[in-house]
Amino acid sequence: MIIQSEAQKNFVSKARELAGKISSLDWEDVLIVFHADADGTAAAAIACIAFRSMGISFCARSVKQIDKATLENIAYFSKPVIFLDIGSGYLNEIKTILDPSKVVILDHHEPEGERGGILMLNPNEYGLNGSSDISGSGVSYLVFKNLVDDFSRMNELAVVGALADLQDAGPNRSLLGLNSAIILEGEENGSILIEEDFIFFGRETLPIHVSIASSSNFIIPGLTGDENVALNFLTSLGIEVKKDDSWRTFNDLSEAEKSRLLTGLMQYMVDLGLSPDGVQNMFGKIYVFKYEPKGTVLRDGREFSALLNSCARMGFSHIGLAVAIGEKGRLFEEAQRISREYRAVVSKSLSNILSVPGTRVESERVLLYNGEGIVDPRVLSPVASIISTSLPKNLEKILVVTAAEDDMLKVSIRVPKSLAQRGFNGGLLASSAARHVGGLGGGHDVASGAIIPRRRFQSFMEAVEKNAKEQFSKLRNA
Amino acid sequence: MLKVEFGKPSLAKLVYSSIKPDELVEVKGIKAFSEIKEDAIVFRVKCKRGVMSLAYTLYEYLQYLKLIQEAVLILEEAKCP
Repeated sequence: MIIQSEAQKNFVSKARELAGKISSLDWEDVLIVFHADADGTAAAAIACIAFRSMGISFCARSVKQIDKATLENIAYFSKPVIFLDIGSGYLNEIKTILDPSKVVILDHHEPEGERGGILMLNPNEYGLNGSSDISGSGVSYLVFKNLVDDFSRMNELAVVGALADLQDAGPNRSLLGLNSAIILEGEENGSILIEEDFIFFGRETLPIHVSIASSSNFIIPGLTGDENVALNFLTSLGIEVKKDDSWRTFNDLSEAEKSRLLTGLMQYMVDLGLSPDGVQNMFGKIYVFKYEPKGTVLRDGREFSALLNSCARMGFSHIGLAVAIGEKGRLFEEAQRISREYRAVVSKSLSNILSVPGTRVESERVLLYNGEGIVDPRVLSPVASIISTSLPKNLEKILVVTAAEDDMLKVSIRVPKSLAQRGFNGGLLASSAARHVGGLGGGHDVASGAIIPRRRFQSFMEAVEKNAKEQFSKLRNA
Repeated sequence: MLKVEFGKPSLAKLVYSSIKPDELVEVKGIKAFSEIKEDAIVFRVKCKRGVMSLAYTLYEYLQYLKLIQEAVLILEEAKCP
C-alpha cells in the first residue's frame, strides 16, 4: 500500500495494531452493529468476511442511529460488540450502557465524548478528514484485511463504501486520500480497473435511455426522469438503442456513438440556455471491479454502491449485506427488485418537490425545500443530494430539505464544498439546531441531517439561520 | 458540431472575433474551427483522442463563449448611459 503522508502512515499502522488486538481477544461470538446505509453495509460485509474466514460466530444488525433504547437492546445480548460506521458520536452513551472492554468502534464520523476503555479507530483523530479521505468501510478494510489471506473482495467493498458516501470529490469525480491508496492496492492485485467515461447510472445494466433518465449526478430538464423523452432524444441522434431485440447498455456504445451523444447532450443544454458547468458532472472516473461478472451491477463501483444504498434506504440492509458478502442467488434478485422500487420512489419524490408550488423558500444564507407530505422520508437524503448537485456552483447557500415521518420531521442538510473548505460545518449546524428544539442531529461538514419534532419546525429553521449566520461570519478567506 | 445562438448578429460577431484567435493553438489529435452564421456561432471539432478529450474541448469552448458574452454585455451596458 502506497501511503502519501505521515498521518496516513500512522493511521494504517494503528489499524494493523488494532487488528492484532481484535485477534488476540479470542472472541467466539461477536455482535456487529452497523450504520444502516451503504457505507455501513459495506463495512459490515468486510467484518463478516473476516470473521467467517477466522471461524468466529457473528450476528449483524443495522441501526439508523444510536440511542438509549438501541444500546439497552444491544446490552441484552451480552456479547462483544463491533460498531461499524457509527458509534463515534455517542461515546459517553455507549460506555455508560455497555462494557467498554467489550466494545470496538471503527468509524469515520466526528468523535464526541470520552472513549474510556473502548477500542476505537477514527481517522479524525489522526489528522485525516473523515468526510473525504476515508469511509467507514475503508476503516473496516484497513483493520480486517490484516486478518485474512485474500482481501480482494474487501478491497472492492471499501471502494463501494467511499463512493456511497460521495467521497469522490477529487478531480473528475475521483476518490482521494487513503481511498486512493486502497484503490491502488486493488489495481495492483488486479481487482480494480479505473476508466474515464460518462458516469450515467446503470452503465453496465440499464437500457441507455433509462440510464440517462435515471441519472442523479446532474439534472437535464426534460430528459431526467422521463424515459420516453430520453428514448426519442437518442433516436433523434441516430443512436441505435437495441441490438437483436435486446436493449443496449451504455457500455455497448462505440467511441463514435459516445461522441455523438456527448455533442447532442451539449447542444440540448445550450439550446435550453443551461450552464456548461453541468456537463462536468457527466464525466468522471469509473471504478470497475474486474472479478465481478460483466453486465451486473456488481461490476461498477457506483452501481454496486447504489444497490446497497437502495436496500438500506428501503429498510432491507440485511439483503444488501448478504449481497455485499457474496450472495448471488435469490437475495441478489430481491436486492435488484428493491433497487428498482427505490429509484421509482426517489423519482416521484424529486418530481413532487421540484414541481409543487411553495416548497422552495430562499433567504440570504439558506435555501429550504419543504417536502412535508410530498417527499418519502426514506429517500430524503438522496433527494437532497440530487437537488444540491443541480444548484449553480456559485450559489453559496446552505441547502435544507425536509420530509415528514409521523410526528417527526426528517431534515437533510447540504453545504457547498466551497463553504466547507472555508470552515463551514454542516454537522455542527445540524446538531446545534436540532438540540435547540429537542431533536437529534449530526453528520459531516458537507452532508448532515437531523430528526426533530414536526411542530418545532419554525423554531428549528430559526436556529438554522442563527447558526448559519454565526458560521458565515467566521469563514476563512478562500 | 455545436451551434450557439446569440439572438443578435452583432453580439455573435463580437463574441466570434474574441474567440477566434484561440483556435490557432494546435493540440495533437484535435482539430477545431468555428464559423459565424447570422446570429450564431457554429463550432466544429474533430477529435481523435477519445470522448473525454472531446468533452473537455467542448466544455472549455462553451466556458469561453459564456465568459466573453458576459464581458461583451457588461461593456455594452457601460457604453449606454
